[in-house]
Amino acid sequence: MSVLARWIVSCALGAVLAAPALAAAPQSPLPTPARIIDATSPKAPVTGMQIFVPAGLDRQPRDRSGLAAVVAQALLQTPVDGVPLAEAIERVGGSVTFAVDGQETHFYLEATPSHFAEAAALFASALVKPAFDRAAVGAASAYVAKRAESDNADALQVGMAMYRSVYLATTNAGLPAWGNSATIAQITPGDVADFFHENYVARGAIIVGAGAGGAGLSNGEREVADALPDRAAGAIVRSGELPMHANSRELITHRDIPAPWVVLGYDAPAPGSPDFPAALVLESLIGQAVGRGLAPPFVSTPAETERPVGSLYLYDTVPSAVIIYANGAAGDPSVAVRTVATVVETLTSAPLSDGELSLAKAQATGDFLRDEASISDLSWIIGNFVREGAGDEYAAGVLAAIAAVTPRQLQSTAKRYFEHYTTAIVLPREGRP
Amino acid sequence: MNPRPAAAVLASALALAPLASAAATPRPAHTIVRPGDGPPLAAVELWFRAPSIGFGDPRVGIAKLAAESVAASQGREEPLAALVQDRGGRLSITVFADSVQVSAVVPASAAEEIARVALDDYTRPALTEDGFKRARASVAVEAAEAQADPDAQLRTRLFAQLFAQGPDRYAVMPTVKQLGALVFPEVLAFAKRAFRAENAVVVVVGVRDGPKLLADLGGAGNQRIAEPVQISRPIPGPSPVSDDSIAGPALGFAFAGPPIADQRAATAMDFLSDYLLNEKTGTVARALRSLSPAALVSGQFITLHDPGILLVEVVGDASDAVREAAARAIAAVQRPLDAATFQRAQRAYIYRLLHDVQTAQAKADNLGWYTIEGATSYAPFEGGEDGEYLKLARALTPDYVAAVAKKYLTHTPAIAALVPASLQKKAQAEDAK
Repeated sequence: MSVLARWIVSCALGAVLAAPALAAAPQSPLPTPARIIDATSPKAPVTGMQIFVPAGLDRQPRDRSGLAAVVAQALLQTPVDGVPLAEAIERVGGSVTFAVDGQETHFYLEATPSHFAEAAALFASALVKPAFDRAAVGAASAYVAKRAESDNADALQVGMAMYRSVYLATTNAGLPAWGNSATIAQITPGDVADFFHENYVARGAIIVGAGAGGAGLSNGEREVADALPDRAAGAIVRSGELPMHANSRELITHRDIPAPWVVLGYDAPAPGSPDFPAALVLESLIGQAVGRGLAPPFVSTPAETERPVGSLYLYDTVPSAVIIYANGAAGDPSVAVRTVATVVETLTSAPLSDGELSLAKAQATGDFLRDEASISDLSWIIGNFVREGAGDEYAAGVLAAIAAVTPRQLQSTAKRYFEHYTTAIVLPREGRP
Repeated sequence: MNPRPAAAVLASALALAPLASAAATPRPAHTIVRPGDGPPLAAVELWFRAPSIGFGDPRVGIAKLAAESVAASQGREEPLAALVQDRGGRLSITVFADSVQVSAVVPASAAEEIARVALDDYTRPALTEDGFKRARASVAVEAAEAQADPDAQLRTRLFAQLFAQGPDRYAVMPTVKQLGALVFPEVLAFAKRAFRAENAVVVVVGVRDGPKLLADLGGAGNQRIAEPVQISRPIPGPSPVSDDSIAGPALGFAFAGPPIADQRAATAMDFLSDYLLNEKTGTVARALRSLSPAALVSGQFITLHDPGILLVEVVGDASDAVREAAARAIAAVQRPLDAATFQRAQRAYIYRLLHDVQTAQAKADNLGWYTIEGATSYAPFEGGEDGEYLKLARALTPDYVAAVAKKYLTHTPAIAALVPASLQKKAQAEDAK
């Protein structure tokens, strides 16, 4: 057992609760024409480009939940050179994927350096002339409905979605990324065309080039940027509801799963906040180290799926959140929750020693580096921080900011954000409808 | 009382030999250090050429247990497994039929320390009874997990059929009974022989100051790995097997392919593996899509000293119809592809190859593997765009690829099916109706 894990399991049980004082989240940046940022590496084997458009969940109507994903999927199926875009890009030696988040949709295009310009040109041509006829929208809807069904059977995704729906309650950003079968069935070709026309625009779009640079990347970035019309995105859909701050509430649901899952959700500082580096350290410390401490006695570092406890920092949206989850299939979730409480109590009651803090920082540094290890991940992190108003250089400065966290900062951040949480519990259905 | 196996007696005697002195760590046979130009995350890997079943009578699991025992033992400082995690890294230990890989992915700032400690702990070796006990508990959990892993179960059966003798014939992971039969003295004896510095390949990728680390590790080495290459002889015309297994339903094929020395043919097999077995676009996956939509296809050409092995796996369906459809798709590549199809497939294959070597860990994995197999310069992307592998990949032709398929894919493959008992009973009941 590591020094850090020994320290964690020796913490005393109990917690002192205090009212949270949330740090001010950074203001959303003003919409501007598409921004292009490069973070290239001369020796990288492939070239990548992350394209963010302001077409997130927060711009789709609640009764069309899943629309943002259907639009992105339909774009990938748009015929280019006689075959769907995704296949056309594969034929030239590349790939394209997408993900829908609360406040944006992002596409990742990657190819061999010598064929990147061709791949980008294909993507741009689909942006200029997307196919949203009934058959295309039907096929895209079927794909998205299948993904929704799959997420609905994943206890972690369900628990996370339950928590997102409350802390992002002021807009539709907390809707599930893939929607649900009932709302997807309502989506028409007109909805798809309208959402695309309104939100696949240059203002607020960000293009991050990464991996091998060169003329192919530069030309590709320009071509894709030029394919986005220079106007602002449609309005964010306001729900009229107030956000529910983490405050020891419980949300419970049932699914066809073999064991219960518990998800603890904490309000957390967004990128750009002075508390963000300390919160990164805390998230890593609580989730990863507790997970390791309670994991089976592996000599190799246990994989995420082998740990009874894990954590995620949801900084893809502003406001942001941290979740700590306990997997009932890998251990007793009540033990996991009690251990988390013990650790939080210790973190809030006194500053860590320098030795303990340096171990915690090493964990956070390692976790952050693994999160940006691939060209896709790196380009997403850079673009996401820029989109959230943290600045072009923010990603490059995160490691130094982690290194500068002091014991007092860690303690005050733990007190500010980690004493209150919302609990989402996903239980086996066991005969319930 | 059962007589003690000769191997265990010999091991006891060898274990009495003194551990290496506390003098400077001997130089590895082969040390490769590469700088990184991406995020400061480094991969530190130690590879040893050693049979998974030991050097004498087959002792299944001995290499796995020995490698984990060293990582769990108190060395000069804390155990390597704990040290890596305390530095924010992740340790993994993987055993192949003829080699052992110890891999630590750590922040680049910790790479130098981890490389020195790992080399020191393994080559002395640091191995205590306490570490041995911890490793046995760890391997027991892994062995239990492997019972439900279709890939592990298919490989075990396919390789047992395909090879008459040699380490490839045996599983790398022991059963609980086999694990219980391994005793400390024989594990210690194995470690002393397998983990010698002169039998080690050290690979570090992603450090800032490569020349300094290379000098600290004693230079590039004499390039001669102490232990000989292990030879496993294939059986002509293996018989298919079908077993009850909770890992099923699953189906696998294994074909003996060209040796690594025939680099052109081995590259053609890599191309064929991608063309046939890509999980989305491969021709086997396409052939099964309408027949068995839930079936997942995977596989690879494993570049080994002699012979290489093309492994084909279908998880989710082990029916005769799936077997026949997969066999037809494999047989079809004996005819040359038309020029346009070939060019598209070649571009996709080279792209996926390059995509897979973008992280420090992926580069280190490739360098370690190909060096142990005796062909460092053939590692994909070694030498960049002008490297040996990429030149061969670009020079492939439809006729040559078809000729390689005809030579290696027309022999009777090993075939294994995993069918859970519950499914077998259901099928029998339906047959009886």
